[in-house]
Amino acid sequence: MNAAQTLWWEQVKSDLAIFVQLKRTGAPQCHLLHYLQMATEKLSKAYLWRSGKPPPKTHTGFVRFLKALLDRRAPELERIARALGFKRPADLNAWVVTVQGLAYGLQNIAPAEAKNGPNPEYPWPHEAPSHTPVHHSFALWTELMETGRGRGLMGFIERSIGRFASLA
Amino acid sequence: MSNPFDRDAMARCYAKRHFETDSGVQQIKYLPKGAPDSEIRFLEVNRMIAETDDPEPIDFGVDIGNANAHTLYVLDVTPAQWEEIQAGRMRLPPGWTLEDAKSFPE
Repeated sequence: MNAAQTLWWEQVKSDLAIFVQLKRTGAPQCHLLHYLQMATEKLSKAYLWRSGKPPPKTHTGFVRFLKALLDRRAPELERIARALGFKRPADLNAWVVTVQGLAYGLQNIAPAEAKNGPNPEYPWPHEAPSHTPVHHSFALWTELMETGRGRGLMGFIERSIGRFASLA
Repeated sequence: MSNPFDRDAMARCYAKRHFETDSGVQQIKYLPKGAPDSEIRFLEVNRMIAETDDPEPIDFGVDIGNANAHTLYVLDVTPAQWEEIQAGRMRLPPGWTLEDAKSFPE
């Protein structure tokens, strides 16, 4: 892990810790999703810093991380798959296919990506607000919490952050 | 020792994987002209991303520090941006060109 990755990773860990604290207190979904989205975006940036070059400030969300991870050399991917709880790289690859919709949901809920629709930070639509995040029930949150696929993705995110040194 | 890196073969391999793992990707343009020998440049047309004014290529950090070391850059654009690029109204990153581009799926 290089110096830039270490700095980003420290921030990712803190974001995730705040998410966990907020979840324990029963905070509204919007705040939980906000921290979860930020944690995954920063996880992606922390990972992409492995090239030694700064990733773009935008469009570097969670799906980029998943794709870049799967593009690693075969021997490295063996080790990474095991660190993330999969027996083989093929299992990790197949699992990513099943969660890509959720991963895009998490990536695209950021205000800059949400196309003036539901997002965890600002009332929408911007020009004539009719909804506010704090009172919104997010289908994404329900899917993350109440489906096996969603819970699997949550576990994957926690392992990716906790074991980041194994994949950086 | 010669470098065993086969850029075209690796490009096909990465493109196949990206189609498998990202349902947002509609087409991939592999742009070898003008790229360093150890660099793969992809323009990926993606229907799942939001539009940004000035998309930048991302270095995926795929293979570092060995005999096969190479770089994979991915420039994600929306279908509308792809139309703009083809019409010459939107520029590619410096040094990138559509000349001699190869398309995936082939």
